[in-house]
Amino acid sequence: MATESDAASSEYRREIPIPSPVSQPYWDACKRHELRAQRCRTCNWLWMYPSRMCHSPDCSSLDDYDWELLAGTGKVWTFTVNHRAPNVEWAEELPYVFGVIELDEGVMITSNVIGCDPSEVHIGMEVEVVFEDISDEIALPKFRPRSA
Amino acid sequence: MADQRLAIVGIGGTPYGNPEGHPVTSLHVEAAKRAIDDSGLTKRDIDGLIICDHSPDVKTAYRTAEHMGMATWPKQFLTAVTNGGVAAAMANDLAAHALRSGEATNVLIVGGGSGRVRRRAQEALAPTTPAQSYTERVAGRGQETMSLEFDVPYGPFGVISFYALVAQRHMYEYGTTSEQLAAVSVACRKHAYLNPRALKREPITIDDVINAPYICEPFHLLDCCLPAGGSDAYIVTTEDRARDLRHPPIWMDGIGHAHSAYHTGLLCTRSDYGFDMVRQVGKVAGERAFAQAGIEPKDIDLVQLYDSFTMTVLMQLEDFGFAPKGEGGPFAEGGRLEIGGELPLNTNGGMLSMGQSGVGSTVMFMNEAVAQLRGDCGDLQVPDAKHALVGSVSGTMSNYGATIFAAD
Repeated sequence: MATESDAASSEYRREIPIPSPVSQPYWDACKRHELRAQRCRTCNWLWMYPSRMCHSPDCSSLDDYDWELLAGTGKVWTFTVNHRAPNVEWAEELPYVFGVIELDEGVMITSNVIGCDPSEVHIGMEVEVVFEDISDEIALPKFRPRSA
Repeated sequence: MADQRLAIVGIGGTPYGNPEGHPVTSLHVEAAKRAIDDSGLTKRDIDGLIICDHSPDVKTAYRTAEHMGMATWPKQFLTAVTNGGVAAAMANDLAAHALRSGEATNVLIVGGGSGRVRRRAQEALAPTTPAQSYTERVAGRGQETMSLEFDVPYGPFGVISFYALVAQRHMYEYGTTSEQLAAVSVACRKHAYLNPRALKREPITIDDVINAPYICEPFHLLDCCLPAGGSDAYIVTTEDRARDLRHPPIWMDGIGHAHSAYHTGLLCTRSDYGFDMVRQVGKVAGERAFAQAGIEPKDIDLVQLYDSFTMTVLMQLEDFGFAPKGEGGPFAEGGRLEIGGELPLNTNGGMLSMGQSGVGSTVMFMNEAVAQLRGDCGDLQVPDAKHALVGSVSGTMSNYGATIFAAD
């Protein structure tokens, strides 16, 4: 897993996630530059994003999961190149890629594809996770083209 | 009573644009007045009120009743639905239950927006506001951030980015083109040209759409609807009352709903029912509505489809069964969606050209279907229109409503 990190900055001014009790372990893992998802101890279902009940239609296990370490690799399932930004902080970044990555384990994650020109991004593109340390508490998992 | 047919008996709306800057409650009152007058009922006949609003706040419904002078007598049924683009479709379901149970006799459904969204959208074109943490703002209102934790920190440009994800994947899987998306916008504008109430009326071409600046690829500016202040209202009642009123009743014969996921990652994940972001549960909503109405897609004379984006229309054409899955793009070509074509779409210009009054547009589409089936649309009339389908969508193709109307 790639674990490139930018210098933690107290001046990060974009949206910062506010963990809930159920998502805290996810963000704690991200802080260690690990991407993790919940796997049900009863039925083995794997899901994102963090929530308390197993996502299998046939299993109602509550609070009974392990935080499984993911490989951090996957493919772009869909994406958009934003030419408009929600605020001034994001406007500096235009144009940028907002998309959904299908991880090799089969779960999907919303993120940015960085580290290449937006025009190079395509569906099916192989990517790997890279963590951006945005505060002392939070590292955001983002994705870049997979290195050879 | 339980098996009574339901009908819309009165419709009305405000002008679009809200230049005076009215709060939404004031717009609701004006739309309600026009719907009541249109029906031939009196204000005192209204004993059910449902407000369609984006605000997660039922107080808009209470205030609207007060502003209408309805504070002093008991309403048997009063609430707000806040399900975004499927709000009026959900309101129809609630009205049906209230009317068929005898809880209410005439239900007024009102929806609209003040146009503040429009100001926000314009601001975003040249953003001046700091991020200030969207999740913090949400949390500051006492709401849960939950799934927003996993979307918003990546800088989506409102809902446009999310629908762009649908379009990109649809193009990848089915070969849908920007020109096919543009055909939706062109059809809507062609209709708006003849509608004095529409905000955008100058004709546009496919080239105009695809040469406009990108907002979120593959969406250009004219693939996106036009936020505007305005409000619309209608009155639903049962068959026994409907026949004695001013206009011939327009029957609400099919009501279908279906809901899937909200978070983008879960929307993209193929469910064991075979649904994902580009194969959505509108299929279920459509099948339910058609089964109730006892007709098929080929019997529909016109459609009013929630056109937040051009792609939203193609998805509904497929999911409701007008075109096979993946063939919404080719279906939109060749003027098929224009008046005079096989399946006229959004005959007043839709949200793409008439304007989107937030959640109120879900009401506006019901009213346009009713006006068409009454035969009241003048230059924009679809000849011999007997059946119409109104399609409603919210989330990111997450929630669908399908409402089928019939004229005698």
